[in-house]
Amino acid sequence: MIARLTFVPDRLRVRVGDRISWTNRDIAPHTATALDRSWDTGRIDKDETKSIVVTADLSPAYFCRFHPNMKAHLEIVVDD
Amino acid sequence: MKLRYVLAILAVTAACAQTGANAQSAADLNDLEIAHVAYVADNIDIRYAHLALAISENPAVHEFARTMIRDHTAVNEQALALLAKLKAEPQDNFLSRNLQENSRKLIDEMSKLRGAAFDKRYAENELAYHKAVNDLVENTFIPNIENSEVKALFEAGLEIFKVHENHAAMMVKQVQ
Repeated sequence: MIARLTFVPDRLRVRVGDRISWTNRDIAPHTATALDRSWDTGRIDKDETKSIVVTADLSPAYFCRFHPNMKAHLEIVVDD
Repeated sequence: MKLRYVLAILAVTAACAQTGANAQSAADLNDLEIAHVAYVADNIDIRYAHLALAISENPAVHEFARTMIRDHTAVNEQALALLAKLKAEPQDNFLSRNLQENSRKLIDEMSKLRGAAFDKRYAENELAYHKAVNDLVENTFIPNIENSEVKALFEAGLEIFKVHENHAAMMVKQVQ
């Protein structure tokens, strides 16, 4: 979720194959974008949801392209 | 110095002595006048952003300007939707008119600048403008708004504009 211009939670443990969804509860549009720009949800408007599927090589650090001070991190668990 | 200039304008317009029959203090504005000031302040920042997109060649400035257009447009749409729901019209007032007059002068000034000189002036003004308006919204408007839905919208807007203020501070460093 995105609320009050923060990613909630800002650290999230995920497994390969999981789908991560962001629903924007703010008035302002946001994105979830890898810091290295390797993935990007594109614009997420108010009350809209966008998602990505976790891959083993997914870049874990991400931010909002529109509000670069909004940052968060994924912890990717790779099953043996 | 730029910040002091903007703060001085707002302080003068917000707190100047009462003249004639109309109150000339920001603290005396009613909800519909406050909504008008906010709508005008949003549109002024959108105009500055369009000027930045037309003149600046700096990608960081363009990115910031596009965010200003996107976010202030989104806030204004919410404000208009709420006013429509409340069957109310925003009311013009002295503070809205002062803000518009000052913005016209600044647009004239900035329109004559090019390159790094424009970027620096735009960035510093964005920081000063957001600081000044945020202070007005947080300390004068929100405590005085009577309608709970209007107050909630201003509180949500303030959170966005505080992020803009931080973003503007980052842009000021980038264009030095």
